Amino acid sequence: MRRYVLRRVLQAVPVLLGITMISFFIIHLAPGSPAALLVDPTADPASFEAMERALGLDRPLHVQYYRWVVRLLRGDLGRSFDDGRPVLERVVERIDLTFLLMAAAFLVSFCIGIPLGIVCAVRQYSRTDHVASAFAFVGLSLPNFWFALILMLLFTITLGWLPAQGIQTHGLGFNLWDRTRHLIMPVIVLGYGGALAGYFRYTRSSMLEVIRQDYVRTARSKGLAERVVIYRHALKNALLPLITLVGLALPGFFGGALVTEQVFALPGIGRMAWTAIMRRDYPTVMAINTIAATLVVAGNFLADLAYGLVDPRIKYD
Amino acid sequence: MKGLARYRLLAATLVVLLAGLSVLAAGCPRRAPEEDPGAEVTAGGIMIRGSIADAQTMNPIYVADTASGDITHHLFQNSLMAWNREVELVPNAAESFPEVSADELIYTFRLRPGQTWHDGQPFTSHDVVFTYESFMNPFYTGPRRADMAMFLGYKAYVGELAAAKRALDAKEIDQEAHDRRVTEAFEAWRALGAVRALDDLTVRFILETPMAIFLTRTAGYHIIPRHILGEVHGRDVKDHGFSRNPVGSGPFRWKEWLPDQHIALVGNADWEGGRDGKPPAHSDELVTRVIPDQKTLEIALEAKEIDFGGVTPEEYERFKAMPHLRLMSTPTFAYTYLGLNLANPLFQDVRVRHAISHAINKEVMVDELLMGHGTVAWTHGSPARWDYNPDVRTFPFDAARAKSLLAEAGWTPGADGILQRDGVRFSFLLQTNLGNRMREQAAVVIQSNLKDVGIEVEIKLVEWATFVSDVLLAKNFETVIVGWSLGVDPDAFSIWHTEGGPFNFVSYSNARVDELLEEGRRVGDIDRRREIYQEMQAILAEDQPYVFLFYPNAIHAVGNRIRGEIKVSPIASPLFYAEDLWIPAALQAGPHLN
Repeated sequence: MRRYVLRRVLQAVPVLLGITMISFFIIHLAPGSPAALLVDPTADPASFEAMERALGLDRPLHVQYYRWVVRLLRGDLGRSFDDGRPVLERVVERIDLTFLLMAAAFLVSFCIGIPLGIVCAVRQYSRTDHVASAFAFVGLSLPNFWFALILMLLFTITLGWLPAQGIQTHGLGFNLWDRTRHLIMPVIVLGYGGALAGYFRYTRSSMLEVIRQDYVRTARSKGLAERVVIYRHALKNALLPLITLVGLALPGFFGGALVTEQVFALPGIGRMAWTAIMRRDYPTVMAINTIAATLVVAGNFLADLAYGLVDPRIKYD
Repeated sequence: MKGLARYRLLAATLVVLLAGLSVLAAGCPRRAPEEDPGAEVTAGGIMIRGSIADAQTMNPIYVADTASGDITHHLFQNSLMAWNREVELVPNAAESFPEVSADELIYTFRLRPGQTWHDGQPFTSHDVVFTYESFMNPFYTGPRRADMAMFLGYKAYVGELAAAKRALDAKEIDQEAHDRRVTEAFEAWRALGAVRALDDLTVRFILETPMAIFLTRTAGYHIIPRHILGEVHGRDVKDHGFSRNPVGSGPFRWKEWLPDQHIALVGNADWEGGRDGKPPAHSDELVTRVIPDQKTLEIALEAKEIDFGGVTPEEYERFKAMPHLRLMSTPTFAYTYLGLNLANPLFQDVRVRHAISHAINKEVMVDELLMGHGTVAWTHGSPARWDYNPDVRTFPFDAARAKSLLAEAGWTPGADGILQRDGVRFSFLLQTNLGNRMREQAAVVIQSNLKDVGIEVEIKLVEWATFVSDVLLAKNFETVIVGWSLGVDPDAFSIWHTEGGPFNFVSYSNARVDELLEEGRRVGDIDRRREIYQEMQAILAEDQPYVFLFYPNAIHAVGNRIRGEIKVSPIASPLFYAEDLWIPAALQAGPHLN
């Protein structure tokens, strides 16, 4: 087991290097120079070149990448082209909000999607099944920004229950209820519009498959209560494929946060990513890319590990 | 979704050179509040403005975007001269208009005594000198160096900077030697005394040649505190803590900046302000909340979460009907145009440019895209500015006239219905920036209008950063739709002069216009300047280097709980004199407080 973990961690290194290298080159290949946005367009070409030099953009791309990696190994993500502050500091002051959003959205989609999937599998083709399927599909097919506006129309304008933007009421300071009120709609958008449909569909189909297995029939013929059959014998086995899905949900939520934070004016990392891309703030874009890549790799790795823990048939050595 | 944001960004970026909109609260007669008599002027309360973009820096010498400028306006308000809401030039930190020498080369400003920075330090002529010298500092990377070109010794100094740069590139000297050389050049320029403090309250500027627009330029620069930044190396000023935690001297003090959330300012009770003895800021706080999505911002206005915000033309009627809001539609100094690349043979015949102008239905753009919140543009400038010439040649929508002009120029319909001449089809690419809905729609109108006269247009939308650097500044286009947000001073040298530089994207060149632009910068007499710019506008209308499309209005919404005289002008949003506004005590904690 320990060897397996070690091997996976070591494998992650070239994968991450590969991902960051490719994204580094793609970002720098995009037309439009950050220096052009930072220098007065009427200034002479010399000041443009001076700016490029100041940003280190005058060096060959592979040298820039090499320097970026070396700095990264020292824990230095560079300074933002935008405001000159260390990127790490910018990321740290925002990442908690994004992680909070992601975690809450995950809980919402998980806690609704899975029970719903079970119910629908048990009562296949019932009215409940049809309604729940429709509900899940609507969530999947709604564009996030549009869904967000509909929620605002309902909860902010019509009912007046929830604020449309920001994370706190000005002048109030931190207040748990106030913070919660601000996050309800973003979490619904991210959770319902994101992974809920996936969890629902997977649970349902996986349950349907398991319910028809011999061991479930055996359990029933032993005279076990239906509850015990479903939750103890069927569900345990049906949930296995979901582990993969949960692992992959991490980067999915991260991407969803980009739109959600933009629409609800939340000061998270997704919003920063958007601005950084628009302003060609390469160091910030790279930092966020690296975080996203790490999430993908980590999500996969954790899913594989979790398989080993819950499925006795899988052994790692 | 990002339409308005991009639009503002454009305005923000392109306005840089054309003199700032620095401001002062002065020269405006105080009036008693008209609405609900009995409501006393009360202190307290939080005024909340919604802004599409977050600020980028609080150091005014580096500000190049409207979001930052909107805040430094309240925080500093200490330029030597300033434009008031009625767009008149008035003394600001200066006590009066400067004394100008007979040869028009020496300007001497006397500062109002008793001004202080928010940390209690006195505001002196040394701060003014430090600010102007900062623009000239060899390590300054902000947008205003070229504005200083009128100063004594500028040319020689900048020449020396360029020589040092060439030597560095040729590896004749290393970075350290380069830095030493430019620092010495800077010290040599300072020793000339082009900007000098004669005593604590007197500043003297010496120009190389007479340049009357110098005076209006001084309205564009807030002064920064020498006692904080004076010892900082020029290279480190931009990222100095001051840029995120500034000390100003205006009617509002700094409180806090939570990136992408809000910037909060506090009313400065000690502000002695303008010379009319205006009282200090009334509201306790002025908060700018960053709401990047225009639709969300409008919902926040509707839900009373914010007091101030911009509204799009298509939402105007709906918002006007809301009882808790006041809406104001005001002309601006901006216009939108179709730029024709005159280096391209297609557009070199003036008859062809006239034909294109006749073929495009500008009225329909004003009616359908701006919903009437704007006017058709016939030339450079703005109907709201004093130099505007209303009697220029116009090109009303007339497809038949367009066709005959094109025929005159030798273009005849080909087999596919598209005009041809010498085997060349009349077909071109029209580029504009992605996400600006108004421009995208204008492009479609143009495409359809020109198809009717036999010209084929292909539309390409380009993301903003790329559009600026690779399309506009690289002059890499056939036609573009873009806009100008002009300054208060009509000087348009950088846009139309043959040697104007990269803002003359379309490569326009007209000897008479060059002469006029040069004279317009030199002379101070306002009537002569009006003549100059009106003649220039007439020539531009005749030449049609752009097809001028429309002058859009700005639409502001203000919550009804905000009291005080609210007037807007092309340079003034409802918050222009924020220190004059207040919130009645009963409404200070209302539903607005979200």
